[in-house]
Amino acid sequence: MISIRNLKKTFFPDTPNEVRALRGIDLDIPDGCFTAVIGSNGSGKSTLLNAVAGTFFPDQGKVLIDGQDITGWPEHRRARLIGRVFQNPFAGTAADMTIAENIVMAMRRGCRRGLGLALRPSVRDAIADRIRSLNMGLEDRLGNPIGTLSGGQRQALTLLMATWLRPRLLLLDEHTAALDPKSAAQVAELTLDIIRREKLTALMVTHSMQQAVQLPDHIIMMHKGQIVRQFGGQEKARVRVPDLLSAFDQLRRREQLDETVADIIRSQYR
Amino acid sequence: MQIETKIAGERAILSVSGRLDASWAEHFHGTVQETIRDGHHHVRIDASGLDYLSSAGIRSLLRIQRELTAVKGSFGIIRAAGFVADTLRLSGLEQLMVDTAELSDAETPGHADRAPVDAVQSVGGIRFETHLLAAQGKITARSAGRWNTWSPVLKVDAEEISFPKTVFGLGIGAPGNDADAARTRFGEFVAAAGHVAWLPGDGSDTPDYLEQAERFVPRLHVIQSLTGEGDFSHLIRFSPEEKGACLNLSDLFLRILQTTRSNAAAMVGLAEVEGLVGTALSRSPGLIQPSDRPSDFPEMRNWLSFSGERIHRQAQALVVAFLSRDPSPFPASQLSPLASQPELRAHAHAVILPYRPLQQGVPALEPAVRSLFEDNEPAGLLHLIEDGRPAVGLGQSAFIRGACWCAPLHVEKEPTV
Amino acid sequence: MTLVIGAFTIGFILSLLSMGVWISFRIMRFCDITVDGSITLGASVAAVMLIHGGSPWPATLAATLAGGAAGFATGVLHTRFKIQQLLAGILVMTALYSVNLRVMGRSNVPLSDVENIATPVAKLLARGSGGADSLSLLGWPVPVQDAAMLITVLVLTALVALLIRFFLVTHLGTALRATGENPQMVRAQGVNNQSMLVFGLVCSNALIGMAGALLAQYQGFADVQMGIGMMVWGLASIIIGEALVARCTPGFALCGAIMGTILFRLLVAIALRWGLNPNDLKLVTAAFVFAALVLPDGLKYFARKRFKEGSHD
Repeated sequence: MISIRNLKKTFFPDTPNEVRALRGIDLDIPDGCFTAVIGSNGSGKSTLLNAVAGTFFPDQGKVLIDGQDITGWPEHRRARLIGRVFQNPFAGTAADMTIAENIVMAMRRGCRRGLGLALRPSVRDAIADRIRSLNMGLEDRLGNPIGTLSGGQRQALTLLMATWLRPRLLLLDEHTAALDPKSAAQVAELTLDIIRREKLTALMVTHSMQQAVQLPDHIIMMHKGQIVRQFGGQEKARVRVPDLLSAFDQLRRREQLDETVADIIRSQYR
Repeated sequence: MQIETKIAGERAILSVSGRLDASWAEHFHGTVQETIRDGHHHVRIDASGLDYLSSAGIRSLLRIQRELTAVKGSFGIIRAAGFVADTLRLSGLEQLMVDTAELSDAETPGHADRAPVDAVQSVGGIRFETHLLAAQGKITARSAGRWNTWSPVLKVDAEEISFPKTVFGLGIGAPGNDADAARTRFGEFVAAAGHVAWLPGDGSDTPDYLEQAERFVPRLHVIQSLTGEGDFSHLIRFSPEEKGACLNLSDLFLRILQTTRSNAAAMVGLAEVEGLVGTALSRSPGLIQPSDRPSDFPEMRNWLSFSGERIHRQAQALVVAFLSRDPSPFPASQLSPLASQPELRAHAHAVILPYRPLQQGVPALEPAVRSLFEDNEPAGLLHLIEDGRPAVGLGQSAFIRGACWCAPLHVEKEPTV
Repeated sequence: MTLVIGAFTIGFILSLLSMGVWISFRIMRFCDITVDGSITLGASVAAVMLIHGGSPWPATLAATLAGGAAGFATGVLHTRFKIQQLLAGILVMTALYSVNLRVMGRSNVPLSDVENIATPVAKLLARGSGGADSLSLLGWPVPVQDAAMLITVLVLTALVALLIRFFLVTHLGTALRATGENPQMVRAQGVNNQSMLVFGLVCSNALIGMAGALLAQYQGFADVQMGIGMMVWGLASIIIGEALVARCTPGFALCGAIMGTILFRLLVAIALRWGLNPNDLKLVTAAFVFAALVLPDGLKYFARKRFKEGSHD
């Protein structure tokens, strides 16, 4: 169970550039629930993800994983509980290091790293076995620098790395947005595969309404740092892309009802 | 694919060359529809340049034929040859192929079955055609529901009324077994010709609707409403004479009062939209608690939504409106003054549907509304208002062409406020 | 022959420096100019301990630790106090100038007649050659002292290089390499990238401190000015090394750094022999590094341009 309580964050406070990125987020993600966050640019969806990942500390509020308060934990400490995949396919792997070396890093996510040899032959075999399941032919290229792979392949490996040790929470930050359509579909499918098989709790930020409708169990819609709508359970089963678009349209129109319009309306509804 | 349109009176001849297949069918259909929108209800397709026709193409031909038949127009394919002619013949669609001989007919079809036009007038690029329907025609208006706007809805505020084909109306209401069941779903409604569309009051933009069938008559619990029943005296048809001309709602209102020679009138209109400006309840007023202040800003945002821009361009609107000159026989809660014509008060609701052409001449209201709802779902519903803010205002709703049934108004019951 | 032996000896000593610079510059991707201060720190600490009767090995070890401390200071300035890389290095380097003067008590400490780390080997060699002052190598006479120093630094450098090579493929070493390349990824894998950076700088400057200690013992003095330009020299060596080996695995890169350093020292020795004014040495080195940094891109640019022009024909 992931619990977010009244989370608030303001960037550049007391300056002209002040951004109230999170304005009191309350959210519970039950175990095994795959939740997607959608929202327009600047709605705070990525900020929410980063707050959970620990990229910055919130001004107020709490983040709890299984009742444990991790609000004050630095990013690297949270990594023990949280696996992450970034939007940029280059962000999740070290390009000049080999595939095997990258993965062996992930095999010790959040564990102590000693002076033992990282890539023992047995470890190498285990990596090859697991990578074979991706069907990308990468198992023969374990010694190649990961930078020689395509974005889609790197993102698939990042996903594998994030879930190699079962995370309590998997964070996906628009992880298919930077890929070509075919790779994006492959990675999306792989994501759903892994989440379902390992029964992971996951939080995904996405720009793609299609993805938000197809992949997750639950949709959260954010606007101006707040959760404005949630689609869960039966409603999630019913929701289609046009419904999401119209919900966004309603938000936009809500903004346009300003004080001058309110005056007009008051003169018309009496 | 190339399409060339030639207009001969009411008849349009579209010379089509190339392939009419799945990838072009949509474009073809759109082009033909443009022609139909311009009022040409007798369409011929010159297929001499057409060298391929697939099932997708046939489908779009049949769609056009159906649309034109519905408005008493005509459709045919001329000069079909070779593969195209074979395809049509083998598909059993010979009746679509017509002789070129009829083209030489000097007389343009359609004129014969057209009712006499009582008056034609052009104002501001708009051509108005006025038909007298019934010299003594008048509409009796009735008000039902006594909700005091912005306040919590009381049990006594709601009243159940039914909408047979003879009744049209607008207001706020919802269907349900009793008023309590409807309480959470109150929203704006439009009723005309046995069809009632209303917003479900849950924030959704898409109206739900009921239509009269057999012995079923739609009923609504209304908390505010104006309904009209009786005979329309006039039919006003308008269409643009100049490209880009359109008719503002307030100008239509003025013309109605002028035509019906009255100070109060009611109308039901079917019109192609240039742009609509309006509001809609996004939350049922039945949910207002005594502590709520829905008329305050920004709390108003939770209860009402504003169109925010001119919307639904080129869709077809079914508009119901009641209007009167000052001093009005209606209380203020029913009709509000127009920003552009302060001496005029009106209340107008519109339900928006996909465009359907309207029969030439003097169509009957009921079949026209029915064909609009056939196979189509309403896409929106608005309480039309004028946005007269300087500089940023969206102005008022306007229409490109349409037909408007109207009559002087007789007020039956003075509602208590 | 003396010249060649000298070049090799200094080459091996400065290989430690190059490996240090390689760790900060290439692995941590941190432009660390603490180097100029920490090599002098190593030299002065070792020199002072030696003239006060300390034995060479503990003195060298102390110099190594002192170098590490300097790296630690730079790392903390950068990570904890958010001071930019270069500025953090400059601050520590500047501070070290005074520290070095304090440690030595004056600007130059001569180390004549004290034992150095090569002394045991020299004694061994002397015993082997029957007490002669010089050995014969390919017919050339080589002083026992010099031969002993060469052997000692060769063995020492080789050992250190092997140590680093194996460290870099351990779990900790893998994390260290990844830190320089992608701190974001490393944090996501549960590694504190800031501690890793500090750790990397400590290792780097410890090696440089050790190089300083050895240099002082070989040259026979420690001087407060001796560190100037050392970072650029290290850089030049790395660049040459990378040209010599394909830079992919840590092992190759380390070999390259060592080979590059030696080749660079040989080139310097030859240039000086041919009459290059020693005062111009640093200018020439800087020009060389500039060229090495800019030329590859420039060449690619010209190649592309010519290719384009060619394709027009």
